[in-house]
Amino acid sequence: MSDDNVFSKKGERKVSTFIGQELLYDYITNQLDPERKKAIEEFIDTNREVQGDITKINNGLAYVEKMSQAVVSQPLIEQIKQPSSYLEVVLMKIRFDQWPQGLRLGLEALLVAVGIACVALIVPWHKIMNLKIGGSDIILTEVSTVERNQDNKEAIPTESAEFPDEGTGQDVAISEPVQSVTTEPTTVAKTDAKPAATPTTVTTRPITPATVPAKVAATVAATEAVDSKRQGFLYRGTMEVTNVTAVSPKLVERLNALGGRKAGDVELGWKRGDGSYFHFTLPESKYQEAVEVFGEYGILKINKEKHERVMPEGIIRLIINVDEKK
Amino acid sequence: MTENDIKSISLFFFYSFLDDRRAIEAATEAVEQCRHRLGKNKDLKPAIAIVSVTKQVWEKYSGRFVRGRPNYSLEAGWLLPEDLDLGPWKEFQKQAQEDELLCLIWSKILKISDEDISLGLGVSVGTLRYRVGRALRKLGTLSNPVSQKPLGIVKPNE
Repeated sequence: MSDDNVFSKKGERKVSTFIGQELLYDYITNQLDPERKKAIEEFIDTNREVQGDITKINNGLAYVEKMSQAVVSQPLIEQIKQPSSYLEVVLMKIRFDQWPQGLRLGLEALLVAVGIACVALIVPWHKIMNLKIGGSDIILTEVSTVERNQDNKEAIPTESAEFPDEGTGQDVAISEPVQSVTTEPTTVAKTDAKPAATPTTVTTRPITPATVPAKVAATVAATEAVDSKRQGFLYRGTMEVTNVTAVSPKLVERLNALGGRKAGDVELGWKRGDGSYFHFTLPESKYQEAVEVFGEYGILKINKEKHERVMPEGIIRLIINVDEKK
Repeated sequence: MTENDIKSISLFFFYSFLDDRRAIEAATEAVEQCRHRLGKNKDLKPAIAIVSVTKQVWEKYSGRFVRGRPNYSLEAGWLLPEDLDLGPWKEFQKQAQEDELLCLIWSKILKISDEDISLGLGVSVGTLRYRVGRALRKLGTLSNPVSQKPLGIVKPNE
């Protein structure tokens, strides 16, 4: 066995290249026992490559020594000491502060817009609007539910319904009471300048709910319930008489006696051109008598037409044009 | 925890990540964990806690980043010596094995004793010194190419 392989106190304890290299750091930092230190020194003396390693390690040590002199600024230490909030962590992760200014502003504007949109969607606007306009109950016709007396003369004067759209010869003002429901655009009949000779000459005009004044007298619900059960009618008639001027006052007098009351803006027997215009309400029980009254002066042609307007029970509405006989 | 401990944690992550954002984020988390751990165990040495926690946080963050892509600014608050060129360190950080990199930082930059590091990591002192020795050799190669030049005097074998 050669001396190289002897590891005893008597023999020389030589260090292999691998062990020698791995012990260099310990040798440089003076961590070896004297015997091993001596062995390493001998190993270094005889190995050029190991000498290079020592230099490398020394260079490394010098370099890290310089690195260890680095200091952390006080603000940064304070920042690290304080626990980060969730938002700060997110912003740090996405490097928000390093984004281009325009992109950051755009994102902020987008967030604001989204916020406004969310608020606009969440707020119950329909309820707020309903509160402002007094709910969805818009009453266009005021009808007092007076208990019918046997004497219709007492009941009729309490009725304040007006029907300007049925041929008074005047344009219908929007503020005129019109029975309608606000949830849908409604149409209101608009008459011609002259009292309508036929029902087909009616023109319509849409009215938005906002333009219609709310005049509360009864609820729409109640009106709808009545409408669903009852159908409104209008009696429209024409007749020709000789000497309208003389006949009209008599007709007015007789109709008043029967309980007839003007239904539009104009008086009964309103003179227009050569004829007279009678737009009035009448107790239904007096209808036949009224027909006979007109019949005394000529031939009355009268039709019962369906109409959207529903009269109080027991009351009918008539429009009769009395023209000069030609 | 002292400010020196916080500084050590901050520098550990700065040198290991070379990335401001990650370093601050990881350091903040590590400080919190370290504080918590020291609060639970009064007998624990801060140095051991620092090693253990920084290793744990490093493992958490290192999986999500690629070494060799430095992204730092000295304006963030890192005050380095003026004559320090981080070029060799960047290269070392890119090439070195993880255990070499971390052990070198703990041992030679933060100057934590080998015993504390070995306790914090659960490895022997010999293993630690071996890793540090290897790391220094690599770093020395990068930091001074002159070291690769052949040396002049070599004693002949007797």
